Amino acid sequence: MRLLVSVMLLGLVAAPAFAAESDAQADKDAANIFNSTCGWCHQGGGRVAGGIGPKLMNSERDDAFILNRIRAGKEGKMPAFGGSLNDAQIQALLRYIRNLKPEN
Amino acid sequence: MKRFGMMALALLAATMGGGIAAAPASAQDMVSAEKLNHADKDAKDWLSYRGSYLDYNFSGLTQINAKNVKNLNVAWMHTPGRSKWGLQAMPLAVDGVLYYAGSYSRVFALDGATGQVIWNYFPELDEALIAKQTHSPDNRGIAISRGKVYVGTIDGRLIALDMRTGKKVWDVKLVNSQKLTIGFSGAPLAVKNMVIIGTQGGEWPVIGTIFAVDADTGKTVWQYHPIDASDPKVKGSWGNDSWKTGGGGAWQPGTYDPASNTIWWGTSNPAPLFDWAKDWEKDGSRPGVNLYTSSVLALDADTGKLKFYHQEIPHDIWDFDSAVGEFVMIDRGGKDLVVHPNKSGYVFVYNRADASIVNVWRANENSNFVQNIDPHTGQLIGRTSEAVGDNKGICPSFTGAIGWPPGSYNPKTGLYYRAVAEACMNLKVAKTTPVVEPQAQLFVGAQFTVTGPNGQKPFGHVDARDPVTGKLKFSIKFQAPIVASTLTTAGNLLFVPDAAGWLHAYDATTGKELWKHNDGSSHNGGIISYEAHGKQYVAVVAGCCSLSSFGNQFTYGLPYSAQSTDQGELIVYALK
Ligand code: HEC
Repeated sequence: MRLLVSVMLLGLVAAPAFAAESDAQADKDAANIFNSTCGWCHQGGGRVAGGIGPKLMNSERDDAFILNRIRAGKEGKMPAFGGSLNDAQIQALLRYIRNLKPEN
Repeated sequence: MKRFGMMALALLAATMGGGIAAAPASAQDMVSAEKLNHADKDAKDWLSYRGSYLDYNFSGLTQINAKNVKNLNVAWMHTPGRSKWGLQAMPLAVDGVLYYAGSYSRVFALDGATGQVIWNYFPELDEALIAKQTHSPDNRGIAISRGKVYVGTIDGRLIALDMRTGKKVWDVKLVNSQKLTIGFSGAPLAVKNMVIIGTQGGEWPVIGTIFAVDADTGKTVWQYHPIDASDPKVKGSWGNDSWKTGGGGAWQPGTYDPASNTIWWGTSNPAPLFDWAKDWEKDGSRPGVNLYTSSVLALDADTGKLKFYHQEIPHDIWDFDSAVGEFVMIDRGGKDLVVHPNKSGYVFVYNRADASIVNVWRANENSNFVQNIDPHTGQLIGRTSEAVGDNKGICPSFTGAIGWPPGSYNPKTGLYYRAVAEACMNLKVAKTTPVVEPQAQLFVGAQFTVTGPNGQKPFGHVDARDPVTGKLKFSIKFQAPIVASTLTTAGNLLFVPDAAGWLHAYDATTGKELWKHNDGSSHNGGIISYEAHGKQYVAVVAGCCSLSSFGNQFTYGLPYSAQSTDQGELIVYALK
């Protein structure tokens, strides 16, 4: 049963193999961007509050809010990244934030 | 000499005809180069960022002193507005008028006795660009000379205003901030007939610049790139062409030594901040010593040519740039010395003639990034390295044991007062590639958290020490590190504006607290003293927060957690 579902799912998402691959690439990019840029203000890779920005792990904000905050920033607090990062990168950053897990 | 100077100026003004919005010779004589050279003898004014070229943050005024400071009261206040990321300004004072710039480079001239606004100037900035820039449009200071006030902007410009009217004299774009992200947040330095200013930061994948522009026209006289790859020695110190994204900003003003016509200026850390090299001379993100980052430079004031230097942190992997820190000019035992504190907590004492090391001493308690820095040679002994993944418990933290707001030196007590932070960091280093198109983005290279030492929270202290030997006289502890400058006066006083909101006055000889007053918000900028109509004033800025104090809201609870991050005030004190 479980197997069947995952096979079905696999069938669904695996179809555009190219898309899956570029998603994986985008996820790597997102980690790179976070380590290089966002982490300056969001400490512990986004897991803790303590620097300039709030904790992002387990955010109760909806996707639209997070995407908009990354694109538009907030005056005097967080830079707007809409002009420097493309949509795929911003979507991948959202996935990065949603996948954050506590570290030991 | 002085007469000749005035005549020359008058002549110059005459020959320039109607060229620039020509201020008459009399205005150009206001704050002449000669006056700046002797600012340390002029107790009534506060003429440059750290008071005078001696970088003492010292006032020779004695009206307010250890005996009567208990009667200090608020005389007037001023609200600059739009104080995003607080207020970080160092005011200046000339002939009883106080000048300062708030965030967004909003400049004000105020009657020093009453706070009455004489003029204001709000530059029109590229707001769309500012929304994309990393740092908020905070401004840390201005310079004054030749009848003009100079202010840098975050969108890469330097502007000159007539100091009597606030009218713009010139406005030049020096940096392509649209591409490079960096602009100017630090104060310029007026030297001779020039204004010197350095670009922000060391955390962007770009190369910094120090500019010297003509004070009367805004025309560039010289530029110096701390990472000048046309110099083989520099290029050879960066493996794999990593110099191209090497950072090397010069974001805080240095000072000027008129005797040798030398500009002393510090440079920032290299980018990326952190590294993963096993052998840093051969591998990692930027193999080599990375000249001239995290260095102290001595430049010829007229040409911008490098005379000599000392790289305080070769191959800096901790963000301990040398851009912060005053250049305290001390004469000791017939020797001309310069004392320069580095973010790492080590304080370097140099010979003024050649930046050779006289001594190195440490200001902070918690330190393990090296075993020591050799007090005879300045060499790092037993340096640690970083590897991909977890690197825990490195002390001090990249936020710095020493911050950019200057400490102060009192020639009467012979003591150097310095705010010091005790903090450590946990790093998770990652191999990253920089984003340089279409606009350069932060190039950090690790996730990190800032912690206190030994399971504590970070804390701070202000120490009074001998500036040359480092011998401790007294130390005052604070819950949160001090992120504002300190002021000491000939009235035997030490003023410390703290991060909780209190402005304290201490006996400068003993460290005994004599007075305190709550300014209602954390202090993140400057404090000065000046005289207007025969009366002494102390002016301080309050308003939360700078990069290094922003996290206080998460760390310490009240009052930090309740501090507004977009308001600021200039508060001016006098005796009742
Ligand atoms: C200069 C500091 C800074 C940088 C760099 C930065 N942020 Fe932020 N970020 C902040 C601050 C401050 C806030 C809180 C804004 C507010 O007051 O609502 C924030 C808020 C957010 C939020 C909303 C959180 C919430 O619950 O409200 C998200 C999501 C976010 N940042 C993601 C990112 C990502 C992704 C990057 C990198 C592309 C990034 N940030 C870079 C400072 C920064």
